[in-house]
Amino acid sequence: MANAAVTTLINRVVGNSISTLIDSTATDNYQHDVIYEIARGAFPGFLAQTDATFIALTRGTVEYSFPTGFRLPLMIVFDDTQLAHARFDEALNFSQDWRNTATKPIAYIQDPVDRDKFQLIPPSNYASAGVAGTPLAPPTPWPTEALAFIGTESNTGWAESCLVDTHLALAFEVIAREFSRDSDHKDSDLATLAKTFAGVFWQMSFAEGMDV
Amino acid sequence: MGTLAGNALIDELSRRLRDLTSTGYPRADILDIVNRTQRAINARLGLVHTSTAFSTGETPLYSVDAIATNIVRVVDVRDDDRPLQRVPWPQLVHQDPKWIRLRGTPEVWSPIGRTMIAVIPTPYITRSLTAVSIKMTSNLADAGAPLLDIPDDFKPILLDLAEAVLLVRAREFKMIEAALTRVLPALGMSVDMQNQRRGGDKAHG
Repeated sequence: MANAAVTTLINRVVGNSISTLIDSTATDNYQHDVIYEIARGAFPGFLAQTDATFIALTRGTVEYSFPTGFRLPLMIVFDDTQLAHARFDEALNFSQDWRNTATKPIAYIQDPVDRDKFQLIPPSNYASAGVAGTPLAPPTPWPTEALAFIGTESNTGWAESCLVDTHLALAFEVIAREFSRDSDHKDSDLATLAKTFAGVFWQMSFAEGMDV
Repeated sequence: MGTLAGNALIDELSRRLRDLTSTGYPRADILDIVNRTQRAINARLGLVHTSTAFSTGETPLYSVDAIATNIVRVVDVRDDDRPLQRVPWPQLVHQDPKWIRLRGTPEVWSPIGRTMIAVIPTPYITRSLTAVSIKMTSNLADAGAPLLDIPDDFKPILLDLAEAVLLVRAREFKMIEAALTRVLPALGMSVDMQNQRRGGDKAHG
């Protein structure tokens, strides 16, 4: 579901309310695309939607999927300790047989596994006691032997109140894509101008280093 | 707080756009762009801030939207008058790898993207902290109130930027370039305007 306010803004900026110029399905899709790209880190320095959730641990299980809706892990915490983000060769240095040595996880790796999965080094020899709630609204006491996953999200509704100032940037990013693709309303000059506006408004919304 | 109202700003922009009858640029459209450019300018320059009290819980992590819905970004967290130290989130692990369940008097805070902050350690008992934030400026109306949030002396920047955005509808590339050339240095930004002229200027040949 695209953000309706951004869709209205797109129509307003390009004059779509006066005569139909754009393909609303395409612009909704482009809106989703931009939000996905931000979530996966394709806009360097723009860290927008972040959230945290618990993942239940199964004894001896090495590989876990990212929680639904999460795109990039920023921090993964086991029990009370933040795990190191390691490389595959570092995992091998830890132990050639790390996948079969269940103890207390100290790190995680992503690189040799599917993009939406991670592996614990070593796998846990504990199972989670309970993972109700979220790290932002945790049960009391905080669940032991659980993984807390803190990462980026791609909520295509872009509904957070603290992101309203980014609507102009998002709208221009979509306009740039809509008018640069091959269509009966292709306008390369407008697309280039919109890309410039998008860059200006992204810079205005994401002051360097302030959000990351 | 400025003293200018939405109706006066719309009048002035309509005049700039040579559309006093609001035929090509309906007043509602101009108002929306003014509101949005005011927010973008405040996000960039941090002209207007807001302070919001929030209570700590059994967690170091807080949703910005749950603190208040008029926040662009949190810039400071205070415990009474004591400012907590801001730490980038990648450095939290270096402060203490067990930060997520550390208990005690809050000492540091960290923004984790736009939508979440961490406050560490987690207090043993509920405390009231204050988030100082860049304000998501309030919407103006096509009326004499409410008034502009940002100071009046930033009106030229606001109108130049709003004018540039509004001119996109008419594809007035040269006029957009002129407006952006006026406004971007004031925002501490620069843009290679040559990009705009690729393929010629449709509006003016």
